[in-house]
Order: sequence, then C-alpha cells, then structure tokens
Amino acid sequence: MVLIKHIGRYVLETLGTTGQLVIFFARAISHCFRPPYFYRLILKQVIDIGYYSLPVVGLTTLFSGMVLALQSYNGFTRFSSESAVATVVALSITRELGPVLAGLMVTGRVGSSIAAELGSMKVSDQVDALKILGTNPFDYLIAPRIIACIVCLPILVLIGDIVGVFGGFLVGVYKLNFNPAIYLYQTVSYLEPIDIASGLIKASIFGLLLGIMGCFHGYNCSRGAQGVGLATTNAVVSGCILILIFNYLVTELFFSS
Amino acid sequence: MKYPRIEVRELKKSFDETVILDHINFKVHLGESLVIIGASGSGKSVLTKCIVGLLKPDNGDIFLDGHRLETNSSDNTTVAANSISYVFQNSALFDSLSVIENISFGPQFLNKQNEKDANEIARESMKKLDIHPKFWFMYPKELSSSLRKIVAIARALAVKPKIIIFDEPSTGLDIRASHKLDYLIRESVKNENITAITITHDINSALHIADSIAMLHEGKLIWSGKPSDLKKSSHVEVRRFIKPFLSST
Repeated sequence: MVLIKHIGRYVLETLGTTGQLVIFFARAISHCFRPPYFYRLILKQVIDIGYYSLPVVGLTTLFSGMVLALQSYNGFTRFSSESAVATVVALSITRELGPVLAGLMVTGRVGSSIAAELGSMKVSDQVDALKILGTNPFDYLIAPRIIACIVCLPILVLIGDIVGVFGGFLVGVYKLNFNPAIYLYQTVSYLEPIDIASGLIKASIFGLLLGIMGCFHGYNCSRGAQGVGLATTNAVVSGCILILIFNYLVTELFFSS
Repeated sequence: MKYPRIEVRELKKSFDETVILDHINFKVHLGESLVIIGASGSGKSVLTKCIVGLLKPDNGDIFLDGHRLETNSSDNTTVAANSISYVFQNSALFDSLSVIENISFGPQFLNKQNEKDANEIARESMKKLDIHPKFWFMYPKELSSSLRKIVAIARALAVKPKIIIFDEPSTGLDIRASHKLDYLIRESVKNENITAITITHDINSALHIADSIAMLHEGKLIWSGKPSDLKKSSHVEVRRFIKPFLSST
C-alpha cells in the first residue's frame, strides 16, 4: 500500500511538473515573438552565451575531430578504406558530433548559469521586484536568454564544425600522412548541404531546449541556496537528456529514409 | 464621497489547508502611515503581497481610491502597477544594474519615461535621500545593507507611487541605521504625501513610523489603533507581543 502511494505521488508530481513545463514553454515562446524586446539584454546574452562559449566548443570539437580521424583510420585500415577518413570525419562532425557536443558543453556552461542566475534572482525577490516595476519577467529575463540560445547555438556549431574538421585535417595530414589536397577534396566532395543544415537545425533546437530548461528550473527554483543548487543540477541534467532524445528524433526526421 | 486611499475587505488567503489570512479588513487614508505588527508567520508579508498583486487572495477585495483592484487575473504582474511600490525586506535590488540604473528602472519601464528623463528622476530621488554621488554608479553588492535599503526606498519613490509598502525595513540593521531608515520613511511619506504600509516586528520602529498600528496574529487582525494606545491595549496577544519591548524601555 505504501509502495503504491509512493508511486502514485511520484506519477502525480511528474505529471504536475510536465504540465508546468509545457505552460512555461508556451509562455516563453510567445514572449519571444511579441514586444517589448530588450535589445541590449539580448545582445548581452548573445555575448555571454555565444562569445564566451567559443573556447569550450572550439576545444571540444577540435579534439573530437582529431580523435575521430585517428579512430576511423585505425578502424578503416582493417578493410583498406583509409581514404574514407576525411569523409567520415566531416559527416560525423557536421551531422552529429558538432551539434551534440556543442549542445552538451553549452548546456553545462550556460544552462547551469542561467538556472543559477534566475534562481538567485527568484530567491532574493528580484523577480517580484521586476513585476512590481511593471516589467514582465518573461520579457525581461526569459525571452532574451532563449532568443540568444537559439541564435548562438547554430553559430557555435558552425564554428565547431569548421574547427572539428580542421582537427581531423591536422591529424590526417601531419600524423597519418594524408595528402592535404586529397584530404580536403574528400572532405568537401561528399559533404552535402543537408548535412550541415541538419546540424544547424539541431543546434537551434538544442539551444531552445537548454534555454528553456535553464530558465524553467531557475525561475521555479525553491527557496534558499539548496534550491538554487538543485535548480542548477536539474537544468543541466534535464537539458542534456532532452538534447540526446531530440538528437535522435531530429536525426530520424532528416535521415530515416 | 471621499474614499480611503486603500481599503482591504474580507481578505482571505490559504496555502493548501493552512489559513494564512482570515477575513482581514482595514482602511488607510491619503498621507497616513499604517504599521502592521505581528510575530513571524502571522501573515504580514502574505498580506502585503496580496495587496501589491504578487499573491492572489482566495477571497475578498482590495480597493484603491474606491476602485477595486483586479486580483483574480491569471497574470497579476501589473495589477497594482503605477500605484503601489514595494520595498522588499532584502532590498531586492537588481544585481546586474548600478544604483542609478536600479532607481531609473521604474520611471523608464513602469512610467514609460525615456532613458534621459528616467535618469534625471533617479538623480533627484537619490539627492532627496542623500545618496552620495560616489555610490551612484556602484553595484548593489558593493553597498552596505543600510545603503541598499535606502537605494530600495529611492527606487520605490522614483515611480511616484500612491502607496508604498515597506516589508521589514529595519531587519538586519544596527540601531543607528534603523533609526535613520525610520526617519527616511517618515519624511518620505510626509514630503511626497503618499500612503505607507509598513510591516515590522520592531515595536520601536513601529512607534516612530506609524500614524496607526494594526496587529496580525495567526492570520487575524486582532487589534488596531493609535500608536499611543498600543501600550494600553488589554488584548492578551498584544500584551504578550509588546512585553519584551516594554521591559526593555
């Protein structure tokens, strides 16, 4: 009986949170598409989220591209397909690794900071102060962050794609002794616009997800330092899980046929 | 017919099964300073948050100059905007904005002034409260807690409200800073001719600020009257609440 009670409570709580999240999502999106727009805040968030995430995303994709070149070379030598290394690196980075790694890294860096910042504002009554001063927190706090996430992630992924492919190129040419011209030719010749576009669309969706999760957990954070800590953890964990789930769904949508 | 500036009628608020406010009624007139006293958990903050629109009451009405405030709308962010300012217990200054930006925020976004005019209003407000220009461009984390409270009062006054609510203004301050803040509140109310509602559990502070005092106990308004009548009250809970103060003076 106690077990059933616990399960029932858990199910109800999960349903309640899901409902809250759906309502929050709808409100947040609606405020992204209607004035007032706080352009300075959006620009500030673009710098915080986009510009300051460049080193993290760049380093992650650079080393991923390098490792990918090494691993695929080792694997492909087993059936004499070494020439496919450049193509595999380019496709893997643009379709999968670029968006997913950038999404996860930015969730760790930005999702947590959004949750912590909004959570601190919430527990110190700054969100209530905003309301009293006639400013809707969704306009002032939520929308700029979500817009910045949606805009910045594709740019970061595009840069990450270039850096990742360059990492593969470095290993291919200087470690595995590929001819640079042939490596570049093989990188470009099998790469189609849909490969890059799908990665960028994924990135936008990941940006939306990490922005929403950061804002949702921060905005609904419970009182005290513990509440802010929990909000931060939940924002990162739920953001990462959603990114992985949506990565599969979007891949299925683009490439299932 | 002259209406009270603010009138609360039959206000009721519960969280889950717990009744926090139980049929609260009171009126405050133009230029009057009402202080609501009561122990922690008596419902003081919930009451003021209902008045300002941050919480939705379950029942009851709030009237501002005879007009009923909409308290049942789903988005109650601007219910009392333009009319009621609120000074939070912990100041609630925006961390990312400087002192002048904090104070000009209300005039700019609530009163729809342009940035230049809003800054001018902020400067006037800071001068009135004797905030030294060296603090104007500092950030809240660089200020002392008493100065943060003064900045919060300047921010609240800058929007030229009809009513200003002070939530535990002297909490966390030493006696000198607390007296200075009481004086500022008193002067602001007098000079700007606004109505003030202050919640506190500091009887000393209440006697300095109040034109009238009301006491909340377990969600009920159990006593109200002039500050001079407070010590004469025969109500058991009032006597119990003011006893530590009486014994210290």
